[in-house]
Amino acid sequence: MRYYRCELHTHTTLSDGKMTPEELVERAKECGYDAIALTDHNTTAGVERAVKAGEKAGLTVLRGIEWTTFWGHLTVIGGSSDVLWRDITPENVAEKIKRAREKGDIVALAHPRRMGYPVCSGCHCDYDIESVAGVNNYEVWSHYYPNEGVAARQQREQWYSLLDRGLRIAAVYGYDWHNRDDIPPSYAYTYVGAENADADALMRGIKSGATFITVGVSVDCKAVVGEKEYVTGSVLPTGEADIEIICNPIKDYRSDKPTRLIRAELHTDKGVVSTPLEFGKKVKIKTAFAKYCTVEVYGERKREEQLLAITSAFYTGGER
Amino acid sequence: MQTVLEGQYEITRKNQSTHVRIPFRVPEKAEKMHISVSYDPKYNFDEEYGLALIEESMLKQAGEPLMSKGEMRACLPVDNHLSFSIDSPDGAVGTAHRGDNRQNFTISADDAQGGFYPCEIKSGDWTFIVSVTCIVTDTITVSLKIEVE
Ligand SMILES: [Zn+2]
Ligand SMILES: [Zn+2]
Repeated sequence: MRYYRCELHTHTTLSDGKMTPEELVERAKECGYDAIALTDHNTTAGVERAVKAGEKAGLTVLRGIEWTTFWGHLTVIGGSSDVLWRDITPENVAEKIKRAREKGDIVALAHPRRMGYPVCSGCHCDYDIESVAGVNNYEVWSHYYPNEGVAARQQREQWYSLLDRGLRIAAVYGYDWHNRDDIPPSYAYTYVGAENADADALMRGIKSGATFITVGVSVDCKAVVGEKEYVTGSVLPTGEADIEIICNPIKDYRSDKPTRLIRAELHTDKGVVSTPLEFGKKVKIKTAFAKYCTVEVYGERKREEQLLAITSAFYTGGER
Repeated sequence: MQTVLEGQYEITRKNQSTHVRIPFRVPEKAEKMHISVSYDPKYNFDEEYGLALIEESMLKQAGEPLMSKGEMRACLPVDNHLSFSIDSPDGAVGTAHRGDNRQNFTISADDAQGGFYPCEIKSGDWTFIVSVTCIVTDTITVSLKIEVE
């Protein structure tokens, strides 16, 4: 298994994006992505064009859509769901998410704490959190300056509150890519652990929770229990494990690069433990958790201490 | 070319977060459908109103200031946003979701643009749907013309 650079939230001229499907694919290839999901607002009209362009360019394109409802946005990836966005209401959204997942698709809560009406109407998640808690993924980070600001903090807090309740929801970033962005403002990557970069393998990787989000560092981390090693998203036989972490700079990251690492933190339902961290140096931390354990990497970027990366969780025990 | 629907429709604040359905009939032997839709006004240029609306909504949604005053000002003028869908006798033909308040589409069995899918222009009952994503003026007038050939 290795980690592939993916962008799971993109738009084209078939909705309000500024690039055609072909231009988006070309740009994604230039920017070093292994895969993108095309998630135009309430339409899949551009998907086959993007898939075809991807085949030519050597970029995997996952079929998707963004359910752009009045009460919140959800990206749905896989192309198998038969849910019509206009049928979604606060009363039935839980059922619609379940339906899409049963069909084999991946559902993510998109930019849940972004400002909604009247600035970006529908962008803020007004759904009762319980009714959308059945998603696979949560966009802990979103759009530009993803690890900074109030919405990022609130999203991270809300995601952890879901993990605290025993839900198994992977962390993803959503670029919400609308423009060509020749000089990109601060943005992040989602990495997906998979056997290869084919659509099926990436779908399995995302569903398994083998993801991390980052502003410029790679996070190679595993949990070791006895002789066995696990990647994030795995359910461990016990919460008593060693977590091994190695972080390196992502060389072709195009915005402000992290200049040094400071520490790694394990966030669990039992609290936080921390250890100093340097580029390229493996650290091992003991953890003991009852539900989940994530890894957060802190370092210096833009001349201040920043949260640089978050992994999806290792789990143990029963799922809620 | 035959006009099958031409009219103006008034959207009010009561329609926020609803789908306004406009039915129309398509005759036999049509192969192409041209849709020309526009709405006005696009913007509410009242800055005081816009800022107050942003601030009130922000505090309601986030429970704390998500944006500084300067960032709120950068969101002005606040604007109306409608998206458009079409249903054929067989079901959904797609959705056009973008900010422009003037849009034109042509749909046929082999081509479509703007978020719609290619689709046979069957005779029967069709519906044009206006989804009111955001209204920040008391009314919005939607002008719609649908022709077939
Ligand atoms: Zn969105
Ligand atoms: Zn989006």
